[in-house]
Amino acid sequence: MDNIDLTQNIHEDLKKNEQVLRTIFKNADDIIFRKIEAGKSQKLKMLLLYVDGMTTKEAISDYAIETILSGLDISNLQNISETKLQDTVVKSNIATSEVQIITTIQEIVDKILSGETVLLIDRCKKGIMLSSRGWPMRGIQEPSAETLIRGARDGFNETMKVNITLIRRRLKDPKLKVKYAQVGNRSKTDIAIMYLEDVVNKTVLETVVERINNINIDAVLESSYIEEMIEDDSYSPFPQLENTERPDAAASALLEGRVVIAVDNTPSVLIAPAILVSFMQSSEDYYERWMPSCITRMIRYLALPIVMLLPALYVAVTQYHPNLLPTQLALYVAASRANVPFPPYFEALLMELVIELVREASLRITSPVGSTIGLVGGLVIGQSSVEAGLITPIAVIVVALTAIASFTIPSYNFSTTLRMIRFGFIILASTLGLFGISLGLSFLIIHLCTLKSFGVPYLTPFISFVEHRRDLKDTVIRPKIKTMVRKPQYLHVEKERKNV
Amino acid sequence: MFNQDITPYQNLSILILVSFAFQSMLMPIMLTEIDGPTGWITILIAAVLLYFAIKSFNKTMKIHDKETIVGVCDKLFPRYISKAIGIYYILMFLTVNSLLMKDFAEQIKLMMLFRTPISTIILSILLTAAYATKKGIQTIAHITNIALLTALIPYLLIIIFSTYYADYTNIFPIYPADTEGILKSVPAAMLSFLGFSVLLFSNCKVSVKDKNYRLNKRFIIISSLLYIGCYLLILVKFGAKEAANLVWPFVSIMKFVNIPGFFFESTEMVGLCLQMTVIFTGICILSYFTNLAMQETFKTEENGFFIYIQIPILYLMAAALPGMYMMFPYIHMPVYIISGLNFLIPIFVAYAGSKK
Repeated sequence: MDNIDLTQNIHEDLKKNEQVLRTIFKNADDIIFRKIEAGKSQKLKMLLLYVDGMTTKEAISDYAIETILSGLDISNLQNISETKLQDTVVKSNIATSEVQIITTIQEIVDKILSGETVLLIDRCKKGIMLSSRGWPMRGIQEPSAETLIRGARDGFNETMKVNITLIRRRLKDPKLKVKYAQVGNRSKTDIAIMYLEDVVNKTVLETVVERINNINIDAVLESSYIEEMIEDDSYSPFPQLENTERPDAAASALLEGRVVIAVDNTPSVLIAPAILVSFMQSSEDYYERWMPSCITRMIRYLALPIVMLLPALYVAVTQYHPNLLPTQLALYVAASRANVPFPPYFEALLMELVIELVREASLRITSPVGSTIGLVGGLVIGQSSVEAGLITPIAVIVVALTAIASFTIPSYNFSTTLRMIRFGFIILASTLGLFGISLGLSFLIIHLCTLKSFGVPYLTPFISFVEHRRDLKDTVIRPKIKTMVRKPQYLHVEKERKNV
Repeated sequence: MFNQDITPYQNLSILILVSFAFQSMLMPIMLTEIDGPTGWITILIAAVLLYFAIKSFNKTMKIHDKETIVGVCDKLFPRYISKAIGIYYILMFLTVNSLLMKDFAEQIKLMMLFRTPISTIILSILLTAAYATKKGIQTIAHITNIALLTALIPYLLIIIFSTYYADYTNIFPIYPADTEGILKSVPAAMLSFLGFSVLLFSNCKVSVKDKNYRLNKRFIIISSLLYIGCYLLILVKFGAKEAANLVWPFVSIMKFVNIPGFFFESTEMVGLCLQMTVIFTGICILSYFTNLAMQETFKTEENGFFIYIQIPILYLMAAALPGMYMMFPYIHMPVYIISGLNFLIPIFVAYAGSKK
């Protein structure tokens, strides 16, 4: 295999081609080599190649083999030209939906491994690719990580083409364009870049395409590989591309002028660019009535500082600034801490660690047992730690409140980042109190102010709230859909006005 | 599309915020110098003077819109003059930044971290500010806008809640005004508008020039209204005599905040946390523009690495300087000199520019 030049052209002699391909696919028993001799008056040798399990058997047997065997009739085989021979086979005898002429061994290999069937004809320097992809796939199910009370129940699955169809069903617009690419030297993973031609920002689109084309990796097993390879700052803990399992969310992103990247074998799509505000929005915000949605979103924003800072504030206040608290509460905290052997920072770190352990454990175990583990972990460990005098009840409340608040953040990876940052804040609070927290926040804000997603600043529209004041209305609050007549300003989209 | 310049409004935010940080520090000078509640007249005079200074300087800037004041001086004067002006601005920015840092560190030490050495506080502020400065003008502009939204506006709102039990008669009598005191404190008020010196460097980084020149003038109006508002607030709360004895009037006013339902016992600490963000941003802005002044003066390609030179200088200056309250008796003459130079240099450049 190592000695075979894959870029070589298909040989005229079918036997030679078979020999090359058998060497390439040596010890690959799932590659089927089916020899056919067809033709009524004169026999023509052909070779069908496909991977068992990746093709629909009906497509091969009914529309290729059967039609060739029964319909092919070539007289004067010796004098017929190569092109005519090929045309005769393609035009009159093959009934598959997609047919493509291929010229190199590399193309044959790629097509076969993608689930297509290749037909090689004796005396022809070109092969014919017959569309026959088909493998067992998961049905369309409700997305497990983005469940809604009101809204569509269909979610993406692992087949890219199905995912594209789910989006197309929502946007029946000829301006919706899909660009294919293949990434992964070995995996040859299919990628689809989707955008609305008249809306998308061309610079963002070009950046996305360029970065995807520049990826040099052996295999892409999940979209996270792509995410990591094309994001602006891979050292940042913050996600710079949004991912969703919901076709409606992807369609909405396309309408805004963003670019959707669907990756084969991944039941979610990537959305670029992503800003902090987009991680705080849920599809349901737009499906419920605007006023309750508005309040829900405000509560979510309130959860943001709770997730990041509440345990740190607990440490800072109890350890450095008890004078901040109302006298009665300060006395209660002091009394409850009297018999606790650990300092507040250790208490907070310990409980946070326990929560993370429980969370990780419940994720790794099957769902019915997982929820039990969560309950047992939360209730029993918390209760018994307080009774044993290891931690204060206030610490349990603080940690539990933080954990609950983290679940209100719609984006899982964004919430995970916030949870991890919390540990840093606890350490800062334990060394420099409130000043430490302020310092940490300053550091975080500086980092976020520097961060960009495909050229769009991450903290848009807050960092230019006068210029992008129009975008402010769909941030902390959810405006009426009637008032959202323009596309987001921050994307500098081609066609600003929505067609409403 | 996504260029590296800042927008006119981001520039406006920078100017307002850096001025506010300095105004809160220099307010006591004005309170002690004027006998009576007429400090707002001082602010008004300073604002009018600076307004016309900006107007005339911007006329020159329109011709050299890609240049800082040092760059303009390079074109108008012999090299040694432009170098001298550049070095003056570097030293001025370093001095005011170290003063701000020292004052800020002392507030934190006295109110939050009694047992932590002040040098630790200064160093931690300095290192965090250095991180921001290294990232460039866009990051600084973004931080300023975030600070404006998350800290300055809530901070001002909290101050407004302190008007509980305020005595509004404290703003009277206006007549007879202490004319001598008013005139003597004009330089301090002018120095408080530090944004005036910053804009001489920041304007060249703004994308839309014409709008920026209009907003420069608006900066003086907004900043002076903010300054007058805060001055009057301190006055109605404490009265002119009591206010003159306050070291940090902006922090002291926080003690009397009365927000319905607010359960924190020590509100000045909450206010201090918000003020911390504002002053910290001010320090970042000043550090960045010191870097830019160094780049322009020493003609280097980029300025990020100058922060490594600034860190030890700022640290030593901030550690060596006595606290603001100890400097009050001796600060008048330096204030007159710095304020005078800050005002006269741009006027001089504008005059020379108009002649050429």
